[in-house]
Amino acid sequence: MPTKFDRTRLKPFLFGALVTSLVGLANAQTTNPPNDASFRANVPNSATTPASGQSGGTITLYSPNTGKDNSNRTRTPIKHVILLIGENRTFDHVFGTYRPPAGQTVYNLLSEGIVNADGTPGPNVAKAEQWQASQTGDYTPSPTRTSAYTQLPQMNTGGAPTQPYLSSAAQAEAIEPGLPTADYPELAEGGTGLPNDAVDTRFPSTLANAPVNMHASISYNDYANSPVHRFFQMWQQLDCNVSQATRANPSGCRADLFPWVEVTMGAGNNGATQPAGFTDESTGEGSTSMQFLNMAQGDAPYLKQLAQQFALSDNFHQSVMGGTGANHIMLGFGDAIYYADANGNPAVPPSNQIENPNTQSGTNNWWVQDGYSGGSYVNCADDTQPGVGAVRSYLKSLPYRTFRGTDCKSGAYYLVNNYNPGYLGDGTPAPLGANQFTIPPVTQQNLALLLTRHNVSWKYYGEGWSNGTEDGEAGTFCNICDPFLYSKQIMTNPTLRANNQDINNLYSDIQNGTLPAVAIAKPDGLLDGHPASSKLELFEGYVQKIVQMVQANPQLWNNTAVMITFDEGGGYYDSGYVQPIDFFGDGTRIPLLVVSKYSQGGRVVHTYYDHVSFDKFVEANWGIDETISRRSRDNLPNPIQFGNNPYVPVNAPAIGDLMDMFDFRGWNPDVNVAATQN
Amino acid sequence: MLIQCPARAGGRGIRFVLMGTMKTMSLLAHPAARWHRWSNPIAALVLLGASGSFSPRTHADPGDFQAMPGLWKITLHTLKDGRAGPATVQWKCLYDGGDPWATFVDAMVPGEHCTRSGEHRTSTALAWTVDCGGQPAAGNGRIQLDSPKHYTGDVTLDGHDVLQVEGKRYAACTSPSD
Repeated sequence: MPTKFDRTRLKPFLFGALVTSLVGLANAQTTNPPNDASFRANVPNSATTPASGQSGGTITLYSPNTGKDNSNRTRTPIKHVILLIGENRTFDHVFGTYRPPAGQTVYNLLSEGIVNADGTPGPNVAKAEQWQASQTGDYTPSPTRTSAYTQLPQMNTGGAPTQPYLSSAAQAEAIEPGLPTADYPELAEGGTGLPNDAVDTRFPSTLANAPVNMHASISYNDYANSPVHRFFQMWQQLDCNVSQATRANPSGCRADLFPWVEVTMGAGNNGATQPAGFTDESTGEGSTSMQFLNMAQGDAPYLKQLAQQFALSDNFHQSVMGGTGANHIMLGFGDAIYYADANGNPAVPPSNQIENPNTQSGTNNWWVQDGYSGGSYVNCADDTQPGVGAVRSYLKSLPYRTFRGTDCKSGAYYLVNNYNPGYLGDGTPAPLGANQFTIPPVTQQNLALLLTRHNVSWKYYGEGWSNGTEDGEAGTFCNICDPFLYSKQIMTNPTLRANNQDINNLYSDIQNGTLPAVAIAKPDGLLDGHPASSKLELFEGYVQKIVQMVQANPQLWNNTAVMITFDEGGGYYDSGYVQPIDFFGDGTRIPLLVVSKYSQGGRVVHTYYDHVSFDKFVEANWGIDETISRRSRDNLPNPIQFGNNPYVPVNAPAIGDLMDMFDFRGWNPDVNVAATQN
Repeated sequence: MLIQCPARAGGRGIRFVLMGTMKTMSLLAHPAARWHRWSNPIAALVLLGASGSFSPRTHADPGDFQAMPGLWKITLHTLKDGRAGPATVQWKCLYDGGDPWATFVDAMVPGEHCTRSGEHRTSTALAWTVDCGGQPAAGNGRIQLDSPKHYTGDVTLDGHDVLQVEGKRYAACTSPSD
């Protein structure tokens, strides 16, 4: 019998506080007592002092390399971290049928009985049941459910390519440096053979109300469609309502409106009216969101191999509801960024760029203004703004107080979907205006500035950067993925701007032993694994090449962690718990793998994480006693959880610092700490 | 007069309506014509060619216009009596598979009542005819790539240049469907 938390809202929080006080768990992140607990007791669980000098005030332009270099002064043996970010896959979409090594447990479609190992519906398939709903008038993140689908809408090809993008392995190799040699044929294979935006006849015409096993219909080498993954859409897909909260799911997010949002609103309308003859296939998606790869049948073999050999998180989350830009920004800033004037103060964007997810009259969930060439800013401090009041009302109803009381900076219009960054690669301010869909330069604090202040080296390796011309690898550089392209302090400083580099710089830094302490690497659009424009196997190849290069350098392998994750779930269904932190997220689970000498054994870690956990790791590992800003999520505590439910922090909102992904037994902290202090 | 409006859900298909002739172009009409989230790989092959010549894309429409996707600065000069007027600048994103007519040519309307027809596309050029229904009555337009990142072009009416254009790619423009 589900427990209604609206009557006992503070119960979990108070109980968590009691546990904390009794047990003294300042850094309890795992259900199993860590073997390196004595070491970890000396590791700060997070930075505690927010940075001063926030945007709107004096802007400090930083001059790196003028002080001492603290890159080697770490609290653990990890001297280098490389974060590899793929695109658009939820945890269940990739690891839904993963079976971990003996002694480990995982929460996925298979373990929950939602599917069987062969991909067919399992005994508990009802847990993933998808519903139709009714949404008229003002937006709500939890529309009124009407009836469960008897059959899911048919799959649609959407933007998946009819033919592969390249004609031969040789042609691919001429463009693309980021793959192992044997993988190049993959770029010349896998077209759908079908027109765009048509029913995808590779899949059954009749689809049960269940996750859809891709392996049964198409090859892992085939291109497939991409579901919607925008901000207000994802709130609805998760269907969060505290009236549905349980002990295991205190946020009450049911994740039961994925196809319905796809076929009613899809990826936005830019303010247009609903076309005549609108059907379930009109948005070009159908039930794409319910597709999953089948690892138990051979899909994603390299990620499976890494999971079996190293450490896998089954509770790592995209930090913002929605898509690529906002999630990369949250990683880099620990916060969402807002439309600002030349002084960095909040300003009002052009009216056509403001979100309005209220429903157009006479339609079911067809919105007033939302789209990639339309609304993407939200003044989330103002409950009267479209969509804002409903989300905040939900957040305030949770059995815990969300981060900073669910506030947003007053008068600030935050970017919640994809807009181009304020700078071109050469440091030129990007053109602005009502039709440019570009956010002006921002002066908010970010991780790179924090590291620079503390003399810890960093680089962002964006494949296709090409010395700032952004035209490498056939122009497939992802500009919205580089969080530092949005930053005035970085892009107007030639020395800091030069920390934006290309994939060949990463390769040479690995081979030459010149890696910075903190590296973030992004593949180009060919290899990032984004459905329709890429394939997951291509991202696997990108990862494999880098991991093997690190392993081939014994000194680097001794002190480097390679972290592999995704920007977001791409709009695919996931069965995992979601902890709402603030107005912006979290969203669905995404995979995180940590590959290092200190992360071996195939452990599955259940501690709650999101993208900003990476920032917390960096701060903890390099002993930085400062957070990015007062509003950044690295101010959140590490999670405390009960042993019988390791997935839900009882001190919510809380995110871990990834230290649980390591096992530092055998490394002598006293020697290292002493060296650090020297 | 040019009216631009989304034609379908998802905002990826765009219909262009030239008043007077009701000319419709849909991105969906072309197999590769989608707002993919990354750029056209063939453009890099073009860049790799030492001679600067353009390579055919085996699996694509041979008529694919091989401008590199990204952020383009389009500078237009209107000419009157052979003299160039002040420049007007437009910044536009060309997405992979995006419609080059919409991105590059729609801005090249010499007059309010002029319509475009007879479109012809090759891998390096776009050409069309112009009908303004009066004096001057008719003419032609053309843009020509000299690299995947640069083009020049013009519109002539009754044998006289009335519009000159230069386009240059400056940066990436990540496709909106990320």
